[in-house]
Amino acid sequence: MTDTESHEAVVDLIGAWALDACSPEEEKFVEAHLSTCPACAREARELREVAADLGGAYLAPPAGSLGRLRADARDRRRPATTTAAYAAPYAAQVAALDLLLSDLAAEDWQLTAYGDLTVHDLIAHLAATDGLVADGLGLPVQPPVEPSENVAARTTAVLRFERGRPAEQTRRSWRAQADAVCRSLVGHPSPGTATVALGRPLSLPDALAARAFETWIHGEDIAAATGRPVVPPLPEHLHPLADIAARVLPRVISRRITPPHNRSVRLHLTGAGGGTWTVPLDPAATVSAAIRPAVVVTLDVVEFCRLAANRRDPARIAVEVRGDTTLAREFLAAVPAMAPVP
Amino acid sequence: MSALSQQCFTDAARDDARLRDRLVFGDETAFIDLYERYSSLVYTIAARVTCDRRAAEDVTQEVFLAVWQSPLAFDPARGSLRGWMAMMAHRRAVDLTRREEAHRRRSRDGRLYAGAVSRGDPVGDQVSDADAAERVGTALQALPEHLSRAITLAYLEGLTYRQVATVLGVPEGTAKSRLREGLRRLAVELRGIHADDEEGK
Repeated sequence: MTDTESHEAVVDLIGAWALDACSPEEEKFVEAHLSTCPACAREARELREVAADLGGAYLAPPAGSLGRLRADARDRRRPATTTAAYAAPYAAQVAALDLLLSDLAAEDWQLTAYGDLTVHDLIAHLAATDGLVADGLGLPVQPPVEPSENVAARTTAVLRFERGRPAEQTRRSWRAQADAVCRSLVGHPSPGTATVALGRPLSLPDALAARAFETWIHGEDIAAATGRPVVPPLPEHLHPLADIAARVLPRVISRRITPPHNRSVRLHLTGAGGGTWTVPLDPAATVSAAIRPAVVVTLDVVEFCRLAANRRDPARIAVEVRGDTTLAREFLAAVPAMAPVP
Repeated sequence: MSALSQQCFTDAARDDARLRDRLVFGDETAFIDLYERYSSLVYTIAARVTCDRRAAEDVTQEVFLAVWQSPLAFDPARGSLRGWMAMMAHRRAVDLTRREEAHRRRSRDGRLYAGAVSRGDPVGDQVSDADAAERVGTALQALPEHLSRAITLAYLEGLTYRQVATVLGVPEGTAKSRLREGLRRLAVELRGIHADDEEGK
């Protein structure tokens, strides 16, 4: 059928389609056309809106329906675990990644998702680093954490352990451990001063932001590898992730940028969840927002986070620069260096 | 589309996308928000089509569980969340009645026509009589009978357009064009209703 013929046929069927009065084959035929024809898509949308009102005046569902529904919903898909406010972005990323994983076929788990790691390996890797946080919080961890075990050694140990198990088991224990971490943080007495060692000591809020960040980025790796859609964090969850990246930057970039280091970069991150940060090139310096930066770099907050995770090419990222362009180039080139490996 | 209604459209789409994303991130309060917004819509459609309280409740549960388990199935670029929820409810309710069709022939005595439906109510308490749905119901009755009857048979009785053609004794092509023409006229009414809502703000 030519495009024009199929367009004519869809126009003919579109009223019946909007009323679910077609055969299943015709329904598929109409919907395939809608994704390629803006005019039909517009009419389809409009007729669907009308159809939604054809039920007439509203009736109330029976009392108690919501209670039953919530219990069933929890059985079918566990919601994000209730936790401290600073860990909410982590709990949310865990829930979204678990949703993605629940939809994977057995062969999807063996696809290469990042570097030479498969989807299965990446979940084991996430569980490994999460395990360091869990261990720091005094939770039981499998296999047990060795004294002064670092992220790389921990990943090696957990990969060895998890590669011998079915992917579904790895998924379940990763989720269970993440939920245990979230639950243990509710009412934690000293989140401001307690630290966990993730490469170096981090405060609990920073450690949980770092875990949210990595869970999100590996979730995107897995979505890309398995052809699933990507959903960036909610703006209120994205902001603390951009913030920890901006705060860690000076330590990472100073040795990659030509002196003098008594300068700073104003980072203006656009989009919901964004904001403005002033990044000194000297990690020991404290800067006030009033200081005049050598350059103002403006880019999308989600893209900045992906750059910080080494998932974007600094030479190709869409960015607006005002001021010292050489410094801006060096700065952008240095940002991906903060990404943990892998 | 006017600049104002274009703006409303994008705000609404952003709002729908936000609710969808909160569901993706496992936010249970988003699930409750979703239920509060659309449970009456979903239940009403299921009840009108199935004419059965239990079946309507089952359809409602199924629809909300399906959204909770696969929120990404909703694409805000393709239409409103409301329209999508209504579609899920209607398709499931129609599937149910079509499966049952083999067992019992349903009466087509006018019990389900919009006029009768909004007067007496066999399946639940009416909770609102001032919404767009009520006014579209009124507009449906105001359509010429050959159009309103085709739409009622298809939407509320769950007939395919081929079955509508048989019941009305018209060619299939005529049934298809009546369904489209009737919906298009109602769409014009609905646009008027939404414009009134804007002026009233």
